[in-house]
Amino acid sequence: MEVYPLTLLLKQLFNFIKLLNSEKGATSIAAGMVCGMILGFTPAFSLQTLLVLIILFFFRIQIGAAFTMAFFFKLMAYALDPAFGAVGAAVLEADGLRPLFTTLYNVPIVPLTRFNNSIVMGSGVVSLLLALPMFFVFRMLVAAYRLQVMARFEKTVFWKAVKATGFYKWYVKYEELHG
Amino acid sequence: MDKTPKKKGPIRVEAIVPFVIIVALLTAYFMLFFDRQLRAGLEWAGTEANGAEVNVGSLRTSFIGGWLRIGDIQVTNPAEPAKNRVRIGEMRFALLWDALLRAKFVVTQAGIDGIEVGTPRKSPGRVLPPPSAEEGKPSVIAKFKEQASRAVLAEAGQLLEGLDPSAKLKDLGKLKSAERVEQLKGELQKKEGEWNSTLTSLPGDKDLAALQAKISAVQAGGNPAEVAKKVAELGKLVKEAEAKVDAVKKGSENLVKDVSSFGGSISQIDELAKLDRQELEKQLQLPSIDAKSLANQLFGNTVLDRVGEAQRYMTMARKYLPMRSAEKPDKAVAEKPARKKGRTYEFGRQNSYPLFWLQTASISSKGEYSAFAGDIRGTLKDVTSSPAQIGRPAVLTLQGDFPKLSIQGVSAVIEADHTKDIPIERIKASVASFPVLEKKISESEGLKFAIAKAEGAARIEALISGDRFRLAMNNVFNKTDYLIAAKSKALESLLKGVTRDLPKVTLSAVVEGTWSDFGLSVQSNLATALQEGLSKQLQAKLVEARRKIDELVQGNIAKGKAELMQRYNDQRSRLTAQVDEKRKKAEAVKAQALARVDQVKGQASSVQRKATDKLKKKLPF
Repeated sequence: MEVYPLTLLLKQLFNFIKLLNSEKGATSIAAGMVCGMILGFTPAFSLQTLLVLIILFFFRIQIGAAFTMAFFFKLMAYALDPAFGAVGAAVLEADGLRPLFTTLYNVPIVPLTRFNNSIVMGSGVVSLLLALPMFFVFRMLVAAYRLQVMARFEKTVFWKAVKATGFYKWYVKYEELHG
Repeated sequence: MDKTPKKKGPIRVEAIVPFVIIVALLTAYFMLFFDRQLRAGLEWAGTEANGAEVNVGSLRTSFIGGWLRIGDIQVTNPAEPAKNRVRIGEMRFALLWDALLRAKFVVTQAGIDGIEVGTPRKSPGRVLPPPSAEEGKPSVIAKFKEQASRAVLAEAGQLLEGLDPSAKLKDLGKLKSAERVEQLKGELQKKEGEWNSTLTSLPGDKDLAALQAKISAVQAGGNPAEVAKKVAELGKLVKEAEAKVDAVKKGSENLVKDVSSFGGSISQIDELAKLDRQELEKQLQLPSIDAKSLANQLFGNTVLDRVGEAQRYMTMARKYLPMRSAEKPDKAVAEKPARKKGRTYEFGRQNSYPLFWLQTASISSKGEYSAFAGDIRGTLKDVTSSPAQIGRPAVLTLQGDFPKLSIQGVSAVIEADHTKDIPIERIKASVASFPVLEKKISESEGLKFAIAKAEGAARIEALISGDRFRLAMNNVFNKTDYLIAAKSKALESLLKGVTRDLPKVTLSAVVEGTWSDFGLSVQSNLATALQEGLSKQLQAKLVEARRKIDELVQGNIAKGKAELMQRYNDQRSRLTAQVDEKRKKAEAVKAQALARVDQVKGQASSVQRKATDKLKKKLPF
C-alpha cells in the first residue's frame, strides 16, 4: 500500500482521537502533547524543530496529539511572544552566560538552532522547563478525560443510538480488519 | 482464531518510508524550484535597489559544492529603459562550508565576467516610480533643479527679438506699491484726525490769554510786604507759563515726530515699487547674463544628477553595510527589534565570521566578443554585513576600456568605510575619453542647444563623511560640434557666433554641504563665452526693458502717490505752522510774566532806596 505524508498525518489524527477514547497509550499521547508544545512555542523553523520532528517520526509518540497541540500552542505563542522575548533577552544578555554563547555562536552547527534570537531562546527555555511537569499534567488530563468525559458520553442515549446503527457496526468491522 | 496484534517497540520503523519521501520531496524542491525562487527573489531585490528592472538569466546553486552561479544579469538604465545600465555575463561565488555550518555566508572567491555597458534590451525595462520625497516636501536637489531648469537662453532670445513689457504685461495685477499707496491714503485720513486732536490738546490762545490776564492783573507798587506777595504770585505765574511752554514743546515734538514717521512710510513706496519691478522682471523672464548664473542653468542639472546618484548609492551602502554606531560592537548586537520576530543577538569575536562576507571578487572581462563589452579588470573586497567586525572598508577598484564603444581609460576606486562611528564613502572615478552624442545644454520651445558630437573626458571625486559631502566634477568636451536651432534668428546667430570659436568646452563643479543644505558652484568656459557674447547685445536691451517696466510700475502708482504726497505735505505744513505759532505765543506769555516780575521787583527796590535815603537824611551823622 502506498503511503503519502498527508494520509499519514490524517491517520495519526484519527489514531489520536481513537487512542484518546481508548484505555491505553496515555504516555504516548502525553509525550506527543509535550512535543506539540515545543513545536508550537518555537517561532520559526530551526534545527531544534527538525530534531523534534525526527523524534516524533522515529519514536512511538502520538503524532496526531503533537500536531493538534502544536496548533493550539502556536496560537497561544502569538500572545506569549513578548514574554518569550523578555525571557530570551534576559538569558542572552546575562553576562555570566556570554562566554558560553560566544563559543556556541562560533562553533559549527549550533548557530543553525537560532539560539541567539530572543524569542527562540525564550520559548526554548520555557518549553524545556515545562516539558517534564507538562508531561505528567497531560497524562493526568488524559486519564481525567477518559474517566469524566468519555465514560459519561458512552452512557448517553445519543451514543447508544449511534452504536446501534449499521454504519457504526460496519466501521467496527472495518477497524478490526484494517486497524 | 483471534489475531493477536504484534507488540510494537518504542522505535517507529514504519516511519522510515514517509521520512524518505519527505527527504526526497525536499531534495526535489531544492533541485527543481529553489534556484528559480532565489532568482525571482534576486530580481525583485535588484529592481528595488536599482529603481528599474533587473533580470537574471540563470541561477544555479550547489549545497554540496557550496557555490552559486548567476548568469546574464541585466540592469536596466532608469533614464533610458530600452538600454541596460550594465550587463554581466556571469558571477560565481564560492561559499565557505565552515561558515555555512555556523549559519554564516562567507564568499572567499567570486568572479565577475563579461561586463557590458549600454546594451540594448529586448524590451524596455520596467522603471519604478521615484521614491516620494520626505514628508511630501520636495528634496533640496529637486529645488535646485527647479532653479536650474530656467530656459535662460530662450529668454535671452525673446529679449533680442525686442521685448515690449507693456504688450507682454497687459494685466499687471495687484502691485504691492499701488496697494500700499491706497493703504497709506486711508491711514493718512485717520492720522489727520489724530494729529488735529493732539494739536487741540496743546495749550491754545484761550489758555494763554487767561494766563496773560492773570499776569496783567498783578500791578506794581504797595508796601514791601505787598511787593513780596506780588513777586511770589508772579513767580507762580512764571512757572505756569513755563509749564505751558513745555507742554507745547513736548506735544509739538511728538506731533512732528509722528508726522515725519508717516513721511517715512511714504518713502517705502519706492522700495515696494522696486520689488514690483523685480517681480515683473521675473514674469517677463528677463535672463541673468552673468557667467555663474548661466553655468548653473546650463549645466546645473547634469551636476545635480550626479549628486542624486551619489546620495542614492550612499543610502544603499549605509543600509546594506551597517556602520559601527548601528552595531554597538562592545555589546552583543541586537537587530530588528520587531515584535514576533524577536531580537537577534550577535556574539561575534575577533576573527570570527560576520553574517555575510564577500572577501574578494575578481572582476575580469574581455571585450572581444561583443560590441558593448569591455576589457575590464578589478576587485571588490570586504563587502560584509558587519564592517566593524572585520575592521576593513569595502573597496571596489576598476580599470579598463570599452574599445568598441570608444570608451578609454575607465578608472574607479570606490570605498565605503563603515568601520568607525562616522561612516565615510570615497569615490574617485575618471574616464580618459568617451564619445558624447546629443548632450542637451538647453532645450525649450524656442531653443534647442546641444552638443551634437564631442569627445569627452570626465573626472569625479566625492567624499561623504556622515551627513556632510563634497563632490567635485571636471568634464572636458573636445572636438565639439554643436546643434543649435532657435526661434529667434538673432539668438541662433549669436550662439553660432559664440560656439564657432569654442571647440573645447570645460565644466567644473563643486557641490559641498549637507544633504539638506548644500552649495552648488558651476563654472564653464561656454557660460563665460555666452556671457561675453550676450552682454554686448543684451545689456542695452536689458536696461531698456527694465526702464520700461519701471515706467509701467511708476505709471501705475504715480497719480495715487502724488495725491498722497500733496495731502501729506499740506498737512505737515499746516501742522508745523500751527505748532510754531502756539510755541511762540507760549514763549511770549512766559517772557511777559518774567518782565512783570522784573518790573515789580524794580519798583520795590526803588521804593526801598528812596526810603533809605530819607532815613539817612534824618540821621545826625
